[in-house]
Amino acid sequence: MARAIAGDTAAFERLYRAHVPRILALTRRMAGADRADDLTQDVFVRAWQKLALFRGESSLATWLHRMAVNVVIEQFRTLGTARERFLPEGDDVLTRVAAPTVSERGWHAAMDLHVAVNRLPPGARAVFVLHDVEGYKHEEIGTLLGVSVGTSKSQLHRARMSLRGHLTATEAAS
Amino acid sequence: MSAHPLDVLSDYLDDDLDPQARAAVDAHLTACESCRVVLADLTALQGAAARWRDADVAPPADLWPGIAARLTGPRELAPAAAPHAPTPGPRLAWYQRRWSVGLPELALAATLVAALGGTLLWPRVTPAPPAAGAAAPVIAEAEAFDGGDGQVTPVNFADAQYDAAVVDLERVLREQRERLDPRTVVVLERNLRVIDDAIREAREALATDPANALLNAHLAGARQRKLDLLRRAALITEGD
Repeated sequence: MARAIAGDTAAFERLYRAHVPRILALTRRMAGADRADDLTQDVFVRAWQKLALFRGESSLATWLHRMAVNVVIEQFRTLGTARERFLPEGDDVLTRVAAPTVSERGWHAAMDLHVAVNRLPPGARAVFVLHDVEGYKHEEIGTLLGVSVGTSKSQLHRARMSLRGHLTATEAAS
Repeated sequence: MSAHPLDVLSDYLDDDLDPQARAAVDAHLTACESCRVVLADLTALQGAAARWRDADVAPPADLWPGIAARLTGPRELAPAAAPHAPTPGPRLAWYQRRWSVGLPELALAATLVAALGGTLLWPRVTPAPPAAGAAAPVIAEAEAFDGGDGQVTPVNFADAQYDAAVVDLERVLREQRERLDPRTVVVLERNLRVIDDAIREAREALATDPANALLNAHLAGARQRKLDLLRRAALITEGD
């Protein structure tokens, strides 16, 4: 770490290789496979620039994770209007009460969930991934995304119901 | 049976309802098969999401070359060592406070540099070959730059080369000083004093703790900033 802080790129490369699988997994979950590589590169370039600010109060993995979330959120903020980012109010996914259930077996397939999450608008996707996958609180998500706690909760519920709808359809078609 | 409480099923799942609302949902679920199905699906989805976090992904291609090519820009320095000390006290050493030469006035010079484009004036300095068996220089950081002929040349900031580059640039500035706006000269001189103070203090601290990585990084950053500032100033004189 000290060598990387002092400018040793070989030392920094070792840090990169140790942490890139989790960071790439995170950027894929949050932003999709098509943007994940670029975002992951952005994360490590920023980490290099800010490495001297890492004070060891958390693990390096946690520090990088936070940085990756911020990089993805910054990119997300450059996208379109709020209406394009989030699931609309009144979407009919909330009314599909009688849809058949999806078996636990079907949802064990991570790829199904990955595909379904890809179909969410970026804001709703970010809320779902941050809350249900990464374990963030609504207050933290609201701060990160610049939305209210109520919006975060509402978008999480809509994202879950939308995912349920996607996965139900996938299961029924298979 | 009451209306389906779909809007609050996520809050129910997250245990985020007050007791009264939760009791109402419980009562509804007892009688409503379709809502129990939805809740079971949301529970399963929550479990699948939690498992997703543990699914690491190996990079399909090595991203490192693209990252390494971008590690040439400026780096941030460590913040204050005692950030929770709000009361005024004795003057802090440079490494105890958030160090910044980005004084508002520097914006003037930076704006001029930005307006003039990215080509940097840089006196060619031939690095001396390292002595066999010699320890790595304190400042090992290298910067790649285009010397104007399209060839990217690494520059090592070992003391001799650094000092030579600074002397060269300071000479250029002395000779071209009258071509600079007086306000710019004031800003430059003020910021050079700040940087020189930081370099001097870093060297003094390193004299007693030569292996301290943080101090070394600070010294490297301060020297790099001085070079950058001198180069920018020289560029301004060239562009006038």
